[in-house]
Amino acid sequence: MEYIASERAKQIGGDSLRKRIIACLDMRDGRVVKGVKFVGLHDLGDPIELALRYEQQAADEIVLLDISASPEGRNAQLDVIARVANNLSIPFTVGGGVRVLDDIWALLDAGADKVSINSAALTTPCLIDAASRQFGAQCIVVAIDFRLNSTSVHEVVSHGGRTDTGRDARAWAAEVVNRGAGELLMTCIDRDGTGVGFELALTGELARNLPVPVIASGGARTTAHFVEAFANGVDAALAAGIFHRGELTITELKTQLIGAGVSVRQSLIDPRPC
Amino acid sequence: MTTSTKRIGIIETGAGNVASLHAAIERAGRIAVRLNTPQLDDIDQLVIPGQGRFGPVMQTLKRAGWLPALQLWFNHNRPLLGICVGLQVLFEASEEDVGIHGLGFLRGEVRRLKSPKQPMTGWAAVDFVRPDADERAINEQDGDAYFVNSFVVPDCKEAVAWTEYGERFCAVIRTDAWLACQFHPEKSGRYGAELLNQWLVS
Repeated sequence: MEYIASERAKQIGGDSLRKRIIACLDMRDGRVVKGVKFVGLHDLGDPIELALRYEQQAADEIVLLDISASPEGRNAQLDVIARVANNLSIPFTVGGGVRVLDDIWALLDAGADKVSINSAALTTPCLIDAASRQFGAQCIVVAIDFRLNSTSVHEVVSHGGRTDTGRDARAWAAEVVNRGAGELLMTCIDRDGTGVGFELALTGELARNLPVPVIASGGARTTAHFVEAFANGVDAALAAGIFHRGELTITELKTQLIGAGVSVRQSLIDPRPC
Repeated sequence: MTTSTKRIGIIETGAGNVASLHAAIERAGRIAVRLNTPQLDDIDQLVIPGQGRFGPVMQTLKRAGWLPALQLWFNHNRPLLGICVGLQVLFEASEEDVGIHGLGFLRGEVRRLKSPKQPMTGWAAVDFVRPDADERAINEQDGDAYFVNSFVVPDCKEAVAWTEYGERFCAVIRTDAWLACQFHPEKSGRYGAELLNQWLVS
């Protein structure tokens, strides 16, 4: 037993929970879309079909963000969410357009396991406290979009990257955790869609120091980017474009991560057609 | 996949939705029935689902008349599956809500997990114990399952599988006809689906 334990600890994250690979679906008008730095969106397909494909490929979690919701005041599309939730057998996080407690309740009721809050957390920070008290920290994810501004400060941005908030991302991350966030989704919009790798100076620091899981997001293209993220302490890494475009399947990625000594979920791949 | 006419009664504990569990039971080829009160005439197995916290779940069970019904179910050795907090309420008490009695079918107390991050949210290895001289065969495979919890049962004599996150705790416990897991099989992908298929009566 001692031998096994020490072998496991040698892995990246081997003494902890498995490092998670999260596939993200950005949804607009019921279709999955993808753009570079939040603009220039292309249609990539049906959310249910894509979510199930990624589950089959051994994704550890699916995040669905209704990116049209927040800027245009559109409600998250509950029927699509319910159909995805009913078919998935892995955790499912939903975000987009969450403003009040009732929005969170509606998404959980539709079958979401966790709800991601972004802009509303900035305008109404006490929403985090109330949501965490009512539904439990484990289902409240706060998404923080940030960029590195010219004075080498990580600044929080909102509304799909179009609005600067003047907030320091490090301080905001600490505040949302104090208010009851159960997980942080850190997206560096300078990296989003660029394929140059995750931002890890701030994201890694937060993951190593905060008492909640931290997800790195934005900029992944290669397996090495994921290995680097996990070596920096992040709990989960999220990507969209590389999976959507088929540049790297999650199955390939996880096989390579195991080879690189990262502790990821050992999943049973279903050889049978459903 | 097993196809069966067995009816699985999901006890509505009033804390969060049970849609995922309902769908997973149906995917396993059984019929899922949601029960607000103990109407058990055509029910083959009960499930206490895994949403909510210890105290409120116990209060709902008490108010809806489940305590005597579960005692009879236990006495007649009829099958039950407890998931997450549905495992925890089978014990006597919990640090989550001090002073509230659990169902007490199993001896022991639920304690706060001393984990690096709280709540424990994510995938971890489930290791079934296979002592050489165990007369009761373990058919389950080891695998990775999805956990969402801050509280655990650190030890009990009915444990058949263990998980470690910060400390070791009971992942699966089993008595004759009752079985309970700390993780969420309905959220544990193919591995969870296989366990559910094994654990639901057919």
